[in-house]
Amino acid sequence: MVQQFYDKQISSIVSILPKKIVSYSDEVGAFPFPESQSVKLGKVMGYNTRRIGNSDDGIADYALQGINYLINQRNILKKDDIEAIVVVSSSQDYIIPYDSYIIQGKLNLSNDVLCFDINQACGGYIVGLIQSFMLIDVYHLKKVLLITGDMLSKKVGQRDRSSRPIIGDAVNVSIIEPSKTPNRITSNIKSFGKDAPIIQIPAGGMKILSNENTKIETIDEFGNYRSLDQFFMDGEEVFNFVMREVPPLVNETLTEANVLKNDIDYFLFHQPNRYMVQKLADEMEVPYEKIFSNIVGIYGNSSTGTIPLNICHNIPSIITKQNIKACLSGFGAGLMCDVMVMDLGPMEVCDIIEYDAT
Amino acid sequence: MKRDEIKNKIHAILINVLEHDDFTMSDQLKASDVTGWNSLAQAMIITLIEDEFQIKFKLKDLSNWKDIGSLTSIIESKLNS
Repeated sequence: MVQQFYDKQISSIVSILPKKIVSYSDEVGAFPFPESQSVKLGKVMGYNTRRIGNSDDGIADYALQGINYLINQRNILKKDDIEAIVVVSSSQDYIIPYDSYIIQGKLNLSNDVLCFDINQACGGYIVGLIQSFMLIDVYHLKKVLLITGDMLSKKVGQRDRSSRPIIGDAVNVSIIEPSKTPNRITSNIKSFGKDAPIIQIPAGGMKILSNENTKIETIDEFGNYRSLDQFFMDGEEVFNFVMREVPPLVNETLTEANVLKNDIDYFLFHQPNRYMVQKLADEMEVPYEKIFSNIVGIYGNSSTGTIPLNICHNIPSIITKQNIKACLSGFGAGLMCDVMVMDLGPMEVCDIIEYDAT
Repeated sequence: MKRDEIKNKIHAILINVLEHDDFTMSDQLKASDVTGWNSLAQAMIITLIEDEFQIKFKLKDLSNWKDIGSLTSIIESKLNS
């Protein structure tokens, strides 16, 4: 569904990353496949390193460090200016309570601050932007904190070569506010709930409680091991879905935005792996210089975290100095895909920091 | 490039990716006929074929790729276009 928003901006982003870096080459021995084949696979798919959090790390901890960084070190945010907190994640700290309230409480913010938590994965950044824009429009807010990130590395089996090499952890804090100059933002979301089983963590929710049986790893038809408590993704079906649905959705959204493909400076997409992003670029006939595919090979796929991390890693010096025309897109669990065409920059802050638990 | 030459190059790529030659090349050979030819192997095969022949597959090419015969025809068509 297409929706237009007016006069909004992402004024700053900070990405908060775990310090721990794991290397694909150190993990190939654990996969139940010939090591030589896993090495070849890594080269083709662009597997290299990824960031993973500690077992007791949580979304709220990372978000709090990012918010405090914006307040105390960059001096671009005041606690009293925060009017809403929107958290979008598929790996929330607890079933109850919710991360947005934990953050509001630990920051000792006003009781008038609006708190929302949304369950989303790879398409979550755009969903969070839409929610933030709607809050600004309906409540006439001046500043919304959008927290997006995931810590799904805790949920991936060590012998699952289809998912483990790509999953990383990251959390981002974006400041969303009315823009000083007029603009138009075009969003487009499509939902494919019938394909929900293609990406899932079967157990651990209320429908199938985690128990001794759901912890048992079994082998799948391709030789990977995983339990019902762990992340599952049918890579072939995801690839087919993305290649089939995303390019036409991008074209439709560009048409609705009345923007030509050539006028887009950067296509800042969610990055499931390098291969899929490059095939998307081929399909859309977009040069690789305009659509980055390097995030998973450096940090891993942090689901709701990849689009803002993509921005902070690849164009911080550009985005803090000038305005660009950007096309954002997320796609994944749901299944769903979304696209947003918008102006980005100049941002006040576009930084990457490391999480410090001390 | 002749079809046989294209097929020989595909054969070499399949052996390289799958790390075995426990299959017989024919126009009718499909991924499901070959041990280890799963979605990740397919991604590797696609990438190596693109590199070898200096071509790019689009979604319609991948959809039309049913077996070795159709793959050879797709590559042949791209090389001649």
